[in-house]
Amino acid sequence: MSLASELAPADHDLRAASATVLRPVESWPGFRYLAGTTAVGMVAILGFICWGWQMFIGLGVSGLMWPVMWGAYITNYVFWIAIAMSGTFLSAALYLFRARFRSAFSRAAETMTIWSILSAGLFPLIHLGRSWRAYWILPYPNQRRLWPNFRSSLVLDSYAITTYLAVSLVFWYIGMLPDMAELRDRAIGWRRTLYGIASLGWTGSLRDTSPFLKLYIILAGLELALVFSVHTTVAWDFSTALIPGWHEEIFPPYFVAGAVFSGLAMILTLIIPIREWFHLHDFITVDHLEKVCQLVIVASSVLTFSYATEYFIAWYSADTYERSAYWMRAFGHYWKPFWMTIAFNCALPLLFFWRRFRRSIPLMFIMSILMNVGMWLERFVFIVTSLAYSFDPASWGIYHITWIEIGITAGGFGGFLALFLLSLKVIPALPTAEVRRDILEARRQRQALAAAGLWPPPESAGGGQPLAPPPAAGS
Amino acid sequence: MPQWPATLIHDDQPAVAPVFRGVLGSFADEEQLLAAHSLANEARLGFEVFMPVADEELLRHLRFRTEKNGVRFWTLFGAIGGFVSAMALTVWTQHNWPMVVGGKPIVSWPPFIQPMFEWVVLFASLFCAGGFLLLSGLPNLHLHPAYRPEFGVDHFGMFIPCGLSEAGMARTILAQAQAEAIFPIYDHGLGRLAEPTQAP
Repeated sequence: MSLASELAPADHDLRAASATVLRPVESWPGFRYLAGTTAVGMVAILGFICWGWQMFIGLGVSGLMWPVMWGAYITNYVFWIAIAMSGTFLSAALYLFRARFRSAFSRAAETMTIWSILSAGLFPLIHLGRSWRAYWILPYPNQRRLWPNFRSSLVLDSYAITTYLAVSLVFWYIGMLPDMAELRDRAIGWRRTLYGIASLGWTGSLRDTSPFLKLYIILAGLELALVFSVHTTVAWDFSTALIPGWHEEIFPPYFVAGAVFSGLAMILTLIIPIREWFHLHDFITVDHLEKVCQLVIVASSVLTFSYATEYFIAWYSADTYERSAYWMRAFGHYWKPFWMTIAFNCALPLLFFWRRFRRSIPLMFIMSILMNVGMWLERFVFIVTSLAYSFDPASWGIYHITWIEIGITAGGFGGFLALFLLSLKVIPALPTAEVRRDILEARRQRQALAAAGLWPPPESAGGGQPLAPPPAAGS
Repeated sequence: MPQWPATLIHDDQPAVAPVFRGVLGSFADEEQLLAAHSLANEARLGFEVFMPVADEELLRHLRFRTEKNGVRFWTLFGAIGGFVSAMALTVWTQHNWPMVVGGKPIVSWPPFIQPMFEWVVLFASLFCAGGFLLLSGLPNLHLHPAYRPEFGVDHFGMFIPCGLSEAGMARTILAQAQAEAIFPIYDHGLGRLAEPTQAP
């Protein structure tokens, strides 16, 4: 039987399916949702307090000190950009490949993209110290002797990320039009007006649907091209520098692989609680989650290969500084985060080869959190160790993360999660129109099976009753 | 569920006399919709279809080819515009504020390719979305007079726009296709909808 039939129950009533998916938007939040959102919101407030303290006292409250001038804040920046990249990447790529199981998490992935870009955008501002002077770095011509330099990867990065934010917003919003229309039709009062404006007057007519489908597939293709460019450009921030451990050609594809891996882990972390809190068990099934786990194995394998290639190149180049940087990465001051990275990103996902791990929701959830931790540590290790152990041992120096940096980092996670959860009170957690399409597709397949005499299946596993011979040709 | 009529406009203007616009059939099943589609085609009647799903296969059955619409040309124009704009921006800026970095030429094409690529994608996406809005007639706060909320959930609709002289034939076609309900559609203009009656 095909994938659609396995994942979307054909006997679901379309109206009941819509009601289930839209209930979290239309009803009062449950206790667990309220408690979760409040908790992460408090963490976000804590992060803002730490940031305020840093602005009041100065950047000295962070552990940033020569030679390590890029620490936790830039680690957070790269981490959130990767999460942002992978969200839309997964949604767009699975759409282009017609993977029906995408409907279980495509909305969550796209929403995750929007909030993580905004989280990522905060960290360069925090890293500045005097954040209120951020506008000084805007490269508009001939002001404050700052001239635009289109050869700088940092300038190129700003172009890549703002473009990505704009295109992701369009992709996210356009995909929601049918859902907004349904919410409009169900709502009353000011919510009806609000969703009416947001739906742009969508009616699902041929006139709406035909260009919509064309638009969506084109946007998915453009997004796919864009995500590669975004993380490639982030990789250039490091690889165009001459620091050993950064100056590597493998960085762009390695960054993309890492981003896909961390995005998959984050999707698991996000949709498992949503599934429980919003009672979406029928639409985010264990089968759906198992597919994500299978993708995790693929992404982890590519990432492990990238790690191995880095070390191979360091050895094969016979470059003293490169070899030294990688030796110190594994056995220097930062050996603990390094080996945690290897354990969480390379070894832990191997457990998903066992079906038991792929189908156990609690194990999956715990593993996804550990993989997120592993990916954060991976960025921390390659950013900090490369600066801490650069060329001359006389210029080496150790960076110690401070409580303020930990507070701001936690605040970044809290803010992201709070915004993500709050947005699911305004927009559906699943694309209802796609859920309906999956159900209709499953019904069609069941009808085709029934027409061929293959439905219903036998009660016990194995072969059913012998089929009647097909009618002779011409009869 | 909100009360019919499904319009966003709640003004106090006096209602004008309703104008008959055509006949609407509501179907619980896509097979019935496809049957109505065949019959309407045979009778050479125009129609508009409402669907609860954006499904390519259904559009294909309705012989509606998504490839044949102008969205792709809008995308192409946007992409060309983005490429030219980014090229102009980088070259013009560097000529006006020349800064030599690392001995590279003022106009260094290899790094300039990146902003050009970004703007190609950005402009292509925005033009693509703009083309979609233009082709689909969105945004439109006045919903189609024949639209009913169930078409966004679990029913398919076929609206046959016609005059009173063709209303009987349109009704027969929808009835033959086993429409669950058939409605005459009156329009007060600007999306103000008359109360539907059960039968024409």
